[in-house]
Amino acid sequence: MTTLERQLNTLERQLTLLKRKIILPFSNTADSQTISPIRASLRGARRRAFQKFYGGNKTS
Amino acid sequence: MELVAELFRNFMVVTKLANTVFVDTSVLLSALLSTRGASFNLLGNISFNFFINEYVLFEARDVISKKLYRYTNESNLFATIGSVPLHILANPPRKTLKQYEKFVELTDTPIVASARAYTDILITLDKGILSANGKISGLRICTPGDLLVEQRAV
Repeated sequence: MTTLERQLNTLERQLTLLKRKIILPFSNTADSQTISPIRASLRGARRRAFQKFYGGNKTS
Repeated sequence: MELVAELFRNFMVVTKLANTVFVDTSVLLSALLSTRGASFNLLGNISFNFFINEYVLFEARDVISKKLYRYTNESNLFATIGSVPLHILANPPRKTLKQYEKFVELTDTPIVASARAYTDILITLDKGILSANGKISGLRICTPGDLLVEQRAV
């Protein structure tokens, strides 16, 4: 293996590692801030979904 | 058609795919509304196979049409489902719901039942469902943020 090939291999490994490290930042609070105002609507929609697909309010 | 659906259901139960994640409605809507949150970032992660069911799809469409029509629409929802991709499962049979009633509210049981049958992890932002984590064997329940942090640490 020539020096050039070794350097190429090293660069490829570094590139793979870099690709793994490319991560988008995210906010831990963004999800809860987004969902908080629509929590009541979500509960309502869930009740309607249950009614639509399963009818009554008992599973047995 | 029912037979095909039943065969597919049995096949999926027997051969649970690796890294399978069931996405609750709260996570799906959060990903639609904000690109800053963990929900959006996690759904872009190709390490996982994501699933929803008809129940989640109905709920998401319901909330969009009644509450979120100023911020997003059904086209965005279906574009997200197609691009992630999110696989849509049939709803769990009614008889399978009862066993989960002691862990979550009755109306949450179709989410937990599908997640338990087809996937390893359920991601949700619903505190009621999150409180059931550790109580249902074979199913981990966590937030998208928890899963993303863990996945990035690997």
